[in-house]
Amino acid sequence: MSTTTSATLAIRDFAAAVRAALSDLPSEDVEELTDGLEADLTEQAEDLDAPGFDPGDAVGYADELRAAAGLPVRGKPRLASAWTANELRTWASAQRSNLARKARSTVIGSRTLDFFISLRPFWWVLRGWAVYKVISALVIGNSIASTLPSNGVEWVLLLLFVTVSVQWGRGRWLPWSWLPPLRTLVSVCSIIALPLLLVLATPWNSSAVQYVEDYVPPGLLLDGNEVFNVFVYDSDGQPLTGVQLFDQDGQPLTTVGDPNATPWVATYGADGTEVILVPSSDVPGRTGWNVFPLNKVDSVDYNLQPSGEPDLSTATPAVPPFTQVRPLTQQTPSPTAPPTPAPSAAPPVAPEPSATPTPNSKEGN
Amino acid sequence: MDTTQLLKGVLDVAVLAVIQEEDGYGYDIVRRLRAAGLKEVGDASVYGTLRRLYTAGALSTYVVPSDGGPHRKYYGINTEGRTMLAEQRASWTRFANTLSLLLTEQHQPTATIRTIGDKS
Repeated sequence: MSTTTSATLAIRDFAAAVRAALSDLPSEDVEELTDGLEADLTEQAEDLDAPGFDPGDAVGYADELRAAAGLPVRGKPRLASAWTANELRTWASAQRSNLARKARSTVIGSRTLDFFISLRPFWWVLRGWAVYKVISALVIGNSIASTLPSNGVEWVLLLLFVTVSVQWGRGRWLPWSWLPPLRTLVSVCSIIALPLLLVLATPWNSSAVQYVEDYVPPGLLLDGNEVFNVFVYDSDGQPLTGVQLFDQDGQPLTTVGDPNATPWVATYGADGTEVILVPSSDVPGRTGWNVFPLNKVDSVDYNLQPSGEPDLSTATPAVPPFTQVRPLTQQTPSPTAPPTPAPSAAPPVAPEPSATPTPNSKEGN
Repeated sequence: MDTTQLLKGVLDVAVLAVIQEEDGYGYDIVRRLRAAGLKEVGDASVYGTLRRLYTAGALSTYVVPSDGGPHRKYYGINTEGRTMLAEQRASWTRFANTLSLLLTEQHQPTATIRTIGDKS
């Protein structure tokens, strides 16, 4: 027959609370009085065979031990300020034990406590990670905004801290009496530091970068890059003007997001010069963003035009990248010539060239 | 009357008597006391008593390794403990006889049978 893990933990907590309540006695007395306490309580729990073994009130138990052993009764703390670390530990230990006992008195409380107890290993790992984060930030000077180590040495460090934390959680690797208080101190510091560490280590910044990278600009894109203007050449390699483009659904192919709401587009050439593009003035309402090449207007002189609105009357044809391109061979189309359309892809009914591409556009301005 | 209060005065002799039968470790002694009818005996009281009797020189201890479990500290009675037990046994017998006699004289026999723990 074996006791449950929760009973074992309850016994361990209880024994610790009893020892804390006896801590004003010489350590050999405490040792003598509580030597084998866990084993005795475990056996008692097995005898009772009750699922929620309740060792009772640790301070009362300690008082009973003390009285039966003929040892002096514990003095009441005189003043809060006169509390020693031992008394504080006694108090905290007793509170913890009593709290656990109260929680165990109801089914829901008992199950909740068991749930949290089963999460303890997770907490041990998290504590190890927190110590690693602080040490690596303070000693190695690592960025605190990284969750995991970036090299082998740091991995060894992280594994070391996590292992020690887990062993401490299991009550191992505590050979000296100053280690349990240190464990408490580390735990308290970890609890305080963890929210900050988690917030900093959560990749908020990289998620913002991700967002920017994922941002898809409106209009026409080629391999993710914005296409501002389109230059068309005929089969003889001569530039064409006033070419209307439509996509496979018959939608006007434009380089801007919303043709109706875009009077002009400011772009920058490879040399950094500003080029302001405007739609064809041949389409009413200046919505002819699918008529290529787009015209350009003069750059705005902000001294004369503080609103930055360009003068659309200065529209001139944009300068094509090539004055002419290689003519197509009539029989065998050049493999590098992308504009060659597939014969079957010809739309049966092309929209009227003069038709307003967008039905809701109004005449005039 | 609270039997736990009564027990406090006689726990030494009870523990010595149990250990005289056979050596035992802490909870083993608690268990034997309870099996003997002292259901309300508190384990902390027994452990404290063991410690006090040991300090007083009435008991000796030795550690017994156990398979798969923690080592157990066994208590055994020594000469001094036997002397102590004999003395306490005698004084208890005297005390019990005296009290029984007293209660028999004061009350009807049926009333005394209702036990000293009955608070009616």
